[in-house]
Amino acid sequence: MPAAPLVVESLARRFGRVEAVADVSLEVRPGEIVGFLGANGAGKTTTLRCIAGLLSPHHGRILVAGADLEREPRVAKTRLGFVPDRPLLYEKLSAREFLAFVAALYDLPADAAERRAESLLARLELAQHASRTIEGYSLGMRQKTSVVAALLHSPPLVLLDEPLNGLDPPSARVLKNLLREHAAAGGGVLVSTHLLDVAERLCDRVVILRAGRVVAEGTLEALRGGDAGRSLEDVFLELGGPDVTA
Amino acid sequence: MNLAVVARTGWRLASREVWFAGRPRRGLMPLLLTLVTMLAFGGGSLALFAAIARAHAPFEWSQRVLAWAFTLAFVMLALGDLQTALYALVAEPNLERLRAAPLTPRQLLGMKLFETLPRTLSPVFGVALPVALAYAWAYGGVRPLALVAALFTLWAVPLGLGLVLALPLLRLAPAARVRESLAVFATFAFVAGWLVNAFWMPRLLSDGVLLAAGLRALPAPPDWLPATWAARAAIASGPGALAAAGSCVLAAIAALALAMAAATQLLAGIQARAAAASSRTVRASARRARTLAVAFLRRDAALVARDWPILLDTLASVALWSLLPLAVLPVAPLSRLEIARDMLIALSVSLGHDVAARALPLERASLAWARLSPVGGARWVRLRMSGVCIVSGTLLLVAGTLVCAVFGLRGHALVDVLSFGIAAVTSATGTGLLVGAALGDPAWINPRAMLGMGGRNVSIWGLLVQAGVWIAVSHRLSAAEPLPPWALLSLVAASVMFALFMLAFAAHVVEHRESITA
Repeated sequence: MPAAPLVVESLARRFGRVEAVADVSLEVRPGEIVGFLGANGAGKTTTLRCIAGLLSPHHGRILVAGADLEREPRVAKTRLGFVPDRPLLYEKLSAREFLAFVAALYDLPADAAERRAESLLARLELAQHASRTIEGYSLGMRQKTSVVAALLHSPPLVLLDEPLNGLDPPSARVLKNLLREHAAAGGGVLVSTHLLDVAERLCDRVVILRAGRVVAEGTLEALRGGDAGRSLEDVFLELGGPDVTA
Repeated sequence: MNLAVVARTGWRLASREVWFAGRPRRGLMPLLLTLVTMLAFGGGSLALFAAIARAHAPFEWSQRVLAWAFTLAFVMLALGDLQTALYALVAEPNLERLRAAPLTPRQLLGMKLFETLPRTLSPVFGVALPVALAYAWAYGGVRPLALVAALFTLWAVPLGLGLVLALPLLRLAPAARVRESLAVFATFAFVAGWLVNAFWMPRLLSDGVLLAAGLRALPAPPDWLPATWAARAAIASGPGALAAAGSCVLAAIAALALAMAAATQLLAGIQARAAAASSRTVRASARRARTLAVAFLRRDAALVARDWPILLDTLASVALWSLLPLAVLPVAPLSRLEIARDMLIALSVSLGHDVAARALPLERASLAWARLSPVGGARWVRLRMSGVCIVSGTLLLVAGTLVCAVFGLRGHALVDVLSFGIAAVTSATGTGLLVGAALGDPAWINPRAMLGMGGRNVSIWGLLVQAGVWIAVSHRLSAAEPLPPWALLSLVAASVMFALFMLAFAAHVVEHRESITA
């Protein structure tokens, strides 16, 4: 039985006096797409950045495919791919050059990396623009480049922070298919999104965060509590949404 | 447009740049610098005017000093800070939102001039005001309203006329290169400032004992300069005073009106072109490099070669710093060996400031890959250093060979000069990488300022201290004769140890500095 792509135990992170994330525990199992939902400022991005190693947690443990992020950071980082909310790209490189650089960072074999990159670029319809420098890319094109970089080394865990921002409907469909294929191959996906209909159709399970704490977790059916008439939106507004009753 | 709300918001944003949530912010540094400049100019000119008054020297000498101080403020604003206003007008990130709002180009220009006031007013408050106050203290006769009119002229005329001249140029430049063009303006401003500083100041300072002769030799500033009118207006008395102040105000209003007219005609088109991002197709190989080191070198070469203002700025800075000892030469005669050493030390230390300190900030927010990927901060910094060493080493070798050829240094003397250069460049590279890692600004706009304001100060002081220490060491150990090989080897070894210590610190910072990524 392979290790779970992600196990987070009692994660906490403060910014000054503000407790952004407090005692968050969650798990992403092999073959699972988990939606990470919460209102603005609920702590989703902070949690994802802690898991990706960009922020240091003040408390808690993060295991990425069995590797402890604190004790074995390099092993853990080879096992995850991260699509941040703001793509981390080199403006003066072309997408192909950037992906070749990322392949070197993860020590991927040249031929395999090139094939994988070209395949992903073609699926996301970016291949014809991939020799142009990134400085002229639209938000959607940047997001696609960031997705390809995250999937390039086929990591057991893929983290995505609002990945559909700027993507046109065909590209959003391709991305959802890529994530499903990744999960079908035994990988795990943790995706933060505001689009509840996307979460409803794409995710096997959702975790709802409110004020830095997990307030609900489970399959959609479980969260609906047996009431098929309730949508995820209803559940979200009850548990994790802002205090709006209108 | 609700002017009061816009002004209040502008004030709130500006004040939060200085102090927010009980903590000082980066905007505090320019204010402190302006204050320091103000004190320095105020104190210096106070002493100067007092000395002139005590010596019963002609009154015109003081007037000339005042006029030249005003001219300096004028030039500082025209060359150094005009680009701040230009950048705010055509390339600032919040422009997209403002362009979508129902604002006329004039209103937009007004807002941006207001926003950039803290920066564009600093030459006026840092230089012109303290000198005028010192003059008033020594001689009296400066009327507050006339002084305000004069200072307003010093701010409005270079800014207004500068915009009138620059906006058509920006219209001709390719839209996607607007930012680079602004950076080149900044480089030219820097070069001009350096030339004045390097060649003028040593000569002026060396004449310190002959103050009267120096002042007698000081020419009157040209009549056509608005700074001259402003100086006359500030000290005018009698019936001509009102006319002088009035003409100043009229000139300032005319300059701003011209800028408004230029903005109305050109601004929308320039902003639209600047907003339309463009990219170029590159033919470089996109195949994965054989090793990570080669991948880093290939990436660094692409980043620098495709950002030509950075390349231009680096080469200009390196050339100017290495020529600095020649500027001092007629003031303090030195042996050939000393001059060659000093030139190479100045070049080497400037490489730390201009190449190493910019190496990590050049990556902007993408430096986050050092934390995100399995490479790790320590290895990332080491790999980055290899690129820095290639650039710095090549420049040092070329400059060293040229300097030694020009001064006819061979054999032992050549080894001595190159050893000092290698030792200086090694310590400067370590220091530069640490400063870049700790104080780099991932959102930099100007290639001369990839560090935050504090970082720039630390870097420039680091440069001066290191150059001073190395030059002092070289002169102390042996002024005329080359050092023995064991001494040279010890110097290089000590420098390598120091650089390794700095690199370890830099790696720690890259591993843990969350502001890069958060």
